[in-house]
Amino acid sequence: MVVAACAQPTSEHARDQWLWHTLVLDNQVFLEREPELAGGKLAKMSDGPYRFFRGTAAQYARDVMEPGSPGYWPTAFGSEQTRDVALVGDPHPENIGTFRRADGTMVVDFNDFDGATFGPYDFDLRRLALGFWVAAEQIDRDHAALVAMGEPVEQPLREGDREALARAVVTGYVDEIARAASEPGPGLVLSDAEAAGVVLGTLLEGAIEDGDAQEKLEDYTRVEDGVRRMIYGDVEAPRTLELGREPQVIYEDTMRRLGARERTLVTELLARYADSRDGIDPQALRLKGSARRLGAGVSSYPVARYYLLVEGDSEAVEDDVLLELKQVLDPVPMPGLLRYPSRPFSTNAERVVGMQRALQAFDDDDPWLGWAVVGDDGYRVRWRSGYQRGVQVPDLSRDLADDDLVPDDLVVFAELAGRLLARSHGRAPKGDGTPAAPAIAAAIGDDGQGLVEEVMAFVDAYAPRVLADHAAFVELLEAHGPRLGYRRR
Amino acid sequence: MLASIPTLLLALASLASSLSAGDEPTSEAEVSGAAGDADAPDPEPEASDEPALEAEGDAPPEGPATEEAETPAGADPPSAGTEEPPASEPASPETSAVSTVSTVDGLRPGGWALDHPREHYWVPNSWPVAQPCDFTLTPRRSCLVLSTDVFAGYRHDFVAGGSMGEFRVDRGEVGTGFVWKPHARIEGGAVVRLEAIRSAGPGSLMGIDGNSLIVRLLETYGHVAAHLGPIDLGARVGLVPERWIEQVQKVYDTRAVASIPSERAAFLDRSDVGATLTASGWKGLVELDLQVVNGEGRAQEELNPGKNTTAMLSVRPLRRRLPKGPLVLAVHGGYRDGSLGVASLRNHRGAVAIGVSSPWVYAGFEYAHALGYQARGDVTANALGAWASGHVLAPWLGLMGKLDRIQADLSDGDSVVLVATAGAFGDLFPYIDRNRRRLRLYVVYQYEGHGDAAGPLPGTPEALDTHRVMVQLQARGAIRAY
Repeated sequence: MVVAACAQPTSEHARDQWLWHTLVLDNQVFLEREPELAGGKLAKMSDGPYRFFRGTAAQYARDVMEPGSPGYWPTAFGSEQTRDVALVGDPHPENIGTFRRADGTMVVDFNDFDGATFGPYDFDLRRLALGFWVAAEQIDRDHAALVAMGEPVEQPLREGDREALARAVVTGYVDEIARAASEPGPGLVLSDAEAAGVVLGTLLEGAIEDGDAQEKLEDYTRVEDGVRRMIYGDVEAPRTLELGREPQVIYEDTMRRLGARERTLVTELLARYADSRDGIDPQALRLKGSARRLGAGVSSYPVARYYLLVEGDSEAVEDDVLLELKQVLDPVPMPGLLRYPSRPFSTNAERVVGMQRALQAFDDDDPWLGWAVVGDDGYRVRWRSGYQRGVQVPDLSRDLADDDLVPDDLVVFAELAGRLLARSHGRAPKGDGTPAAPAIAAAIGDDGQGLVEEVMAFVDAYAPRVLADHAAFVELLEAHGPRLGYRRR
Repeated sequence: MLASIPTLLLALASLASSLSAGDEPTSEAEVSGAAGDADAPDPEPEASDEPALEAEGDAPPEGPATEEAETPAGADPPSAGTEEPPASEPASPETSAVSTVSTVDGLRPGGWALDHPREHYWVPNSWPVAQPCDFTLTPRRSCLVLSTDVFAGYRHDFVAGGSMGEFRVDRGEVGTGFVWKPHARIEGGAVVRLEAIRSAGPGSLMGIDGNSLIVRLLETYGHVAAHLGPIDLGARVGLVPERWIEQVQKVYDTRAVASIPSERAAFLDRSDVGATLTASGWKGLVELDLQVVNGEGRAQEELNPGKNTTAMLSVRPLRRRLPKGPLVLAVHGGYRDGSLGVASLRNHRGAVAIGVSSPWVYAGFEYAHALGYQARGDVTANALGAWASGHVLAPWLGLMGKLDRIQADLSDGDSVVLVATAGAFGDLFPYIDRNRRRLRLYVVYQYEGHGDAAGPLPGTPEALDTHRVMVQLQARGAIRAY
């Protein structure tokens, strides 16, 4: 019996078990609180490698930080000064989007800081490069599906494009961080559609159009008898997947009416939100409607997310404001990493907002950005507007298929994304309060190409692991159902 | 079913009594005395040293709550049982009272001991051989014990060119235990022990109201023990202490500054939900522990149908009653068949340890082997460590040293963490059972070095070494409430 018990599992089997185990632990809070939404998140992650990648930031963190893991990849470009850089936490192509500043200027920036924390800069850099590699794989698969259905794909990705995208990220980063170190200032600002490349330029133009048309307000509210009201129900119909003979609903875009408890919560949150920023009169924030939004995000799919319709500057319906209140949990843990000081923020909501302001080009990228805390629950508040529009990988697939993009446009986008990351790292103070750009530039030295090759070696080795994990994950869902066999207590 | 266990044990006890009329106890005092003889190397000449032994022993009045809950923190040598009068010479409460109030090193037994003079015969942490309460003292058939244990101090870390100093509370525990003796050969009771922990996990920025120190259950279980001639049997059910840690720490005295290697490497958790069966022969000479627990530790409910099953054998070939206190040599070996989480990850453990405890010196060595580590079933890891501590100028000055080596992945030679600890300590009280009364101050230097594949920042050599200076206070005490 002992001999049998000691038998070493195969590496692949052990990896599958590890994946299963860690996914359950990471999602246990959702599996207990809202199992239906937890199952929806896991089912959504099965859609393809890119969504799986988005939902497994915690697995990535373990893999790159825990000795003996497949992503534990020493760097020759780290130093004691680059261990506590302000990190986006989970940078990837779909976490880049547009903003409209208070003065009306449009900018492109990172738009999700739920995982923002302090750590080694290469944690972010490798994640972003990997994200582009996986996005390219996803686009390839999307195109293969189109071809299988007999539809044309005008601009398929070429052999080597995955690596080209990842390489462009690092090349852009290396160049921009050197510039940030030598030229202190706001750094790279992407506000001109002409200079932002085809992908981001198109995004900027579309955002201006959507914003001017009050797209989000039109999507989630209706004006009846001169009064704007929140709508409820499916903005986009949910879909159902069969996983392990168990149906699982995946919300795409649904607005759910709030119960009395939730209404009290959002009212209180709105009242406290004004404390988190200057220039907002809490008395002026009159709540006109509220709903819970279901279906957004991948990693944060089960997280509580409320849409609040708030009276604007006047009684007119045209200037009403739609705010999103999203619950913020802990960032992805970085196993073993000491942080000095260890608790720079008093709540997660303050962390996310504080780091967003520090990491973005301007601290008013989102003029409504703030936070609110009730009890132990912290919420980040942001503006929901057509002006804020994010990159979507399925859109890139479709644009390539329709000949609206060529693969080189993606390479330009990847390079700009790398530059944006360098700008963010360089702009935000490190955990110890000192500037990061000189420290990172010094760690890289004059061997930028060496860093590029090091990150590429990591991506080449680790990206296939992500694909294999996704395949194993799909099998786990088939075998154990959408909640991975977890039994609610 | 559990309710029937005492009945079954009573029946067994009656059977044993009828079969061994020669040493049949005639009173509780005899039973208690026999039980208290836990680690005595059966009737020895040292028995005549009783007055001195009594005072040195000045043993704590801890109930199972104290001894059992305390043991993971650093249990005392079971040999303290040598301070008990031999079973063949059961002392009457009156004669014991006279001898107990004598002093050694100017230390007088305190309040409860004067009221219950034979309490200091108590055998520290030798369950199931002996219970903390000596029922020969009073007509009572029950007792209640309260205890507390605190590790607190200041530490300053130097890592990667930066430094950070902070005050810390590494342990804050309080426990209580009730023992009831319904029959001459049987005891039972309950233990509840609470611990304070940070509300945020190691990788977590935020916990409750920031990151508060909060209180949670460390142990809570019911227990029963039966004494059948030379064999003592015990069972615990509930959130039970990990027997490996509990047993090995009987020969480890500096838990306030560092845990034993198997605990430091997180190979084992201090407690888990399940049951423990213990058979002790010849008052601790040989002990067999069988433990079946969920396997998820304190922090998690059971997530898979498999259970962690542990078998552990302890042998104490040397047990001497010396004038200053007990001397014990202990050898332990154990194996755990374990699984973890919803995926039933392989999570086996094997370990051996040897250690000696005495009034002057503690020393030992532990090797632990993990088949499956950090939720990776295919990883094999190990941890080993050696320690020594002792007084050079009792009680004011003692020295301690400890060396641990943990390899997180045996297939990677660079995945080693080396921890070297050296320091001095001073006690307020002279040699005494540590569970009962200890106020000890440590000043310690600790080096923690990571191999190239063991640090949190792979490839950043400056982050691989931590130098740490600690000033740590250990404050511990126990009283018998009645």
